[in-house]
Amino acid sequence: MIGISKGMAETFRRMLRPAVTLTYPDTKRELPERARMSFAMARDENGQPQCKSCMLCERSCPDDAIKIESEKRADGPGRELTKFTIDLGKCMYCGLCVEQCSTDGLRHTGDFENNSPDRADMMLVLYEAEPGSVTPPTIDESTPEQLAEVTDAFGALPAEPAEPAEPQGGAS
Amino acid sequence: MMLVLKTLLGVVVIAVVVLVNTVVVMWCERKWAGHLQSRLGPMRTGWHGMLQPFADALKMLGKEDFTPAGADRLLFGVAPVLAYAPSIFIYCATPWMAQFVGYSFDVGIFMIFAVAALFPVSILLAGWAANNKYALMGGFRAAAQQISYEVPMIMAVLGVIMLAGSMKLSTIVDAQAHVWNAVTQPFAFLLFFICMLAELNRTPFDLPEAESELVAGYMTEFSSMRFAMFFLAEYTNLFTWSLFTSLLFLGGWGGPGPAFLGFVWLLLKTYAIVFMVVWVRWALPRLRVDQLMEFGWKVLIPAALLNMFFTALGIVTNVFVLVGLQVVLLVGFVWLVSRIGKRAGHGAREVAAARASASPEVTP
Amino acid sequence: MTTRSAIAVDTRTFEGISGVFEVGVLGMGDLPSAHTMPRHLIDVLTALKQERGFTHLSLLTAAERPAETPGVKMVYAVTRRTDHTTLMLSVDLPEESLRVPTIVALWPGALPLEREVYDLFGVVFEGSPNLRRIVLRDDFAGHPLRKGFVMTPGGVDAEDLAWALASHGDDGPAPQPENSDPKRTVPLPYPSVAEQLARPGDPILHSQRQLLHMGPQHPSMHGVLHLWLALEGEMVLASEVTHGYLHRCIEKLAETRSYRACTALVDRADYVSGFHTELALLMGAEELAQIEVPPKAQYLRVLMSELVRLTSHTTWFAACGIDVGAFTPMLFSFRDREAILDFFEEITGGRMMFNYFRPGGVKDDLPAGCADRLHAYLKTLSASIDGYEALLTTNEIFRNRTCGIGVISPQTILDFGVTGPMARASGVDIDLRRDEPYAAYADFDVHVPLGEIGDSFDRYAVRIAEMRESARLAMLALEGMPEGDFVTPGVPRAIKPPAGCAYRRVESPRGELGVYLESDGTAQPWRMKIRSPAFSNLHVTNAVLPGRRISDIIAIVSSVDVVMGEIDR
Repeated sequence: MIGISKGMAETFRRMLRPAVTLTYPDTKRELPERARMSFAMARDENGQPQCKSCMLCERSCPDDAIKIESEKRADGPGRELTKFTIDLGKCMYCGLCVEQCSTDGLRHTGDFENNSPDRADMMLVLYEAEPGSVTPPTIDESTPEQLAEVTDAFGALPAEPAEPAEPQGGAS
Repeated sequence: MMLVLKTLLGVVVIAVVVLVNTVVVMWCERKWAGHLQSRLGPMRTGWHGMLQPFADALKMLGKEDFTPAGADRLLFGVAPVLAYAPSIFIYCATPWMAQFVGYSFDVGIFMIFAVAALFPVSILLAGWAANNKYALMGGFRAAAQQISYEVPMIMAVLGVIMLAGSMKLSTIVDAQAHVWNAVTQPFAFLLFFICMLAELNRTPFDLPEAESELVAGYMTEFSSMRFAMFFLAEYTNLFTWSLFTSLLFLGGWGGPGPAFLGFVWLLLKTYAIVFMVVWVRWALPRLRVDQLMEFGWKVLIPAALLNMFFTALGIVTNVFVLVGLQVVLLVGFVWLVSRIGKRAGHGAREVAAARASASPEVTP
Repeated sequence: MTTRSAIAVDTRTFEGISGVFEVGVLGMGDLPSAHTMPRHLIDVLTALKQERGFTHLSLLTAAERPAETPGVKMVYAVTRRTDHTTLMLSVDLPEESLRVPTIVALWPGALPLEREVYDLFGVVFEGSPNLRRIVLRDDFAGHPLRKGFVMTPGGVDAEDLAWALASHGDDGPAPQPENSDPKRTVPLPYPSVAEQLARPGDPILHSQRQLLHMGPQHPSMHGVLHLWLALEGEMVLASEVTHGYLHRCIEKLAETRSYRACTALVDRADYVSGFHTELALLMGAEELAQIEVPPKAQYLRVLMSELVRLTSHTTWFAACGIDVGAFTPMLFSFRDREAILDFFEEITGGRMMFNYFRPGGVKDDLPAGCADRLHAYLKTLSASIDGYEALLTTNEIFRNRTCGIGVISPQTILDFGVTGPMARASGVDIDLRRDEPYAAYADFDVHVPLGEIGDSFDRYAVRIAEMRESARLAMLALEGMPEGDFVTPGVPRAIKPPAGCAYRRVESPRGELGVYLESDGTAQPWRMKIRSPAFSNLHVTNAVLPGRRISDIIAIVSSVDVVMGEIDR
């Protein structure tokens, strides 16, 4: 009986104290800076995406959720991003892509309300260039060391980046 | 003609009053459970979730009415109705106030217990009809439990009947005009309360539907409104038994103020008992089935017999002997239950001992 | 800390045992190792167990051999508890004869482990009493961890569907596949469900024995655990654990991923204490690639391990309360769990899937001000735990439900390879944090709580004591946090360890969690095996449950602290 009364006293004590519930979505907890939620693409001062299609993120993604489409720059070396999609239905939010990003362009946002009844909605398009709107580059080259590491890990990049990038077949 | 109209009116009024109270009890349970656990409980449907029971009812209506392939279709359909019907039927003999009673039986209590005894039958039917092993086990547990706990429950009430000299509920309430039975019969009150928890299948005696063991016990295969019937019956019963407790032990509608306030007093007392039941449920674990039977037959029934004997002794001597013997019983009972807790193993073994061996200098 | 030079010394353990050769040259990391033949296996292990005191079977697994010598390599690891030595023993099986004798007679706990190897590699264990698939379904074709296994693309075909729809209900466990001479079969170390069902019921009561499926969709089966129970009334005559419903091919997937991606993957194995699997994996990878870890990272690893142990034990406490019918303990303990998860989110970015440890350290330092807030919070935890205890510890009903229920003897603990709080509750004094200190645990004085008789209550008491101990260790780690790097500079993002094997173990909230890693020199592991503590802990229930009632099953299984994600992987 003593043990029983202890438990009852404890629950009663809690009843007298205010509840701890946050009534989401009326009150939302402030998410910490490092929280790994949805994604965003940072833009530079010209409004261009801070991505130079180095494929580091796509190759590091364990789930093949990232798809980068790019074309060869007309006015110089490197490639121009045309489309950047993340399939949030495949993504496991491990954050490896954000960590690998050579230009700090790919970032996490605090948005976690990504539910949808439709798989098609899970395709997050971070950037899509309008056809013919390719503009001159404003960002520097990717560091050769980073490229070398990824090449080591996931097989060589296409030798001549003039070919359209084939993202498949990286692993194994 | 007048009689028919009067009866109909009475039926409607009672059904409405009971239904409204059932809904309020459901809401109270959710809110109190929430606050006992540092939560808020329902907040979104109406003011502080007042409309939650109605939202639930709508949800239930929208669910698929499912009958398992191997079920006994007739019994499967009858069982929920049989569960809910007696819980309303009981109110034909329940007095709400001195003048406000459906039909004042001379043997009101007898009638009430007789009708209440139908509930385990419906549970057994439900368990059998569903053709599910878990449901069947739940049904058997319910039957065994309710039969075992009805005996000490009725015996606990016998003391009250002896004091009032009548089985008529209004007479019993009137007999408590000066002092409540809970004061003169504290042990019988405790006994009745414990048995009531078992009759209601509430924690710590919620074995028939023990969700962590038997999925949902006898209700496993029921869905939609069939499930809602059981659910409703359960909460109606909770209100009913709390009402009886306040009638039998807490002086019923007696209280200061004009006579019409009696109804308010009765409801207040009833809800106090409902709170006790809810509080117990959200603080305690569940007994094991053999421990439950053992507790019923080896502790409660002998205790109830002693209670009867001591009450009789008190009645033939004086009120001090009556109360004194009750206190003796109470102390003995508490001691016994604590001993049962220790007997299970090694009472001296405390977590404190393990803690001490673990970290002698626990940082505060 | 053992080093590579220890090999030369410890291989003397094998002296005088016939059938052992190539001692210490198998590239088994820093553990003394040897090689034997299938026909000598039983003799060698018997000698090791009975003469040399290697009583604990830590690991039983297999790995594909290199392409030039096709076949499978069996790997056994046994531990001597007196001096905490672990031996690795490997047996090469050529492709044409994937057969090896069963060691169930020596360690009954080897039975489910052998079933797993049979399931995933197709190795036949001669004389095994119950050689059936364990994680895949009974009619699965092929053995997926073989490198030659080709996954058939596409969804469910008509045959699969027909199998699923056909009543597999009340037939009892499926018959076992090919086996050798039945006369040489080792007896099952616990009552058999099929046998018990075949016998008649009580003659006086005219009762009928019945088969009950508890799970996989049962509210207290901790996810998707499935028990076959042979019942008479509410009395359990025999039980058999069935699992695999949460098998996510983590070990197979790891073979196609870089070590960093593996870290993200193994978080999902034991999803309530991800840090421990991460740590064991990375300790193995760092051993293989010879990467040093700076002291600050080691302290951060200890801090995270202890915090995650707290969250794991609060989850257990919640389940423990609900399983005996008390709902409120869950809400009390989850409040503290949430608070710690908030800290995890702040530090690692994830609440349960951390992906925080990295080869050579951790991903990031503690954010500014986090250490102080965490320390202040941990100080209040002791009072919270008092609140939990008020609900259950002295409660007469809880005592009745747990005291004397599910007693496991120290011998059974050894036989079945049970580790962690379950072993400690039975008085077996083991704790890898103290016995084989890893990370920075050598700097801490870890107190190990022990139970007396090994019933459910002891397991409860030990875990409660461990929660207090973890809070204390976490505070000590915060207080003693050294300055410096949180990761070794210059560790490449994709490490390519040289060819070799490593077996590393940590003390997870459920016990001895090991990761066996085999590298072939590429950036992806050749084989990664998680030695899951809950797997062994769970299979001991087959021996404990018979003779108890249905309500006791729940009280016993909840005291095992089952995490199905870790068991099925």
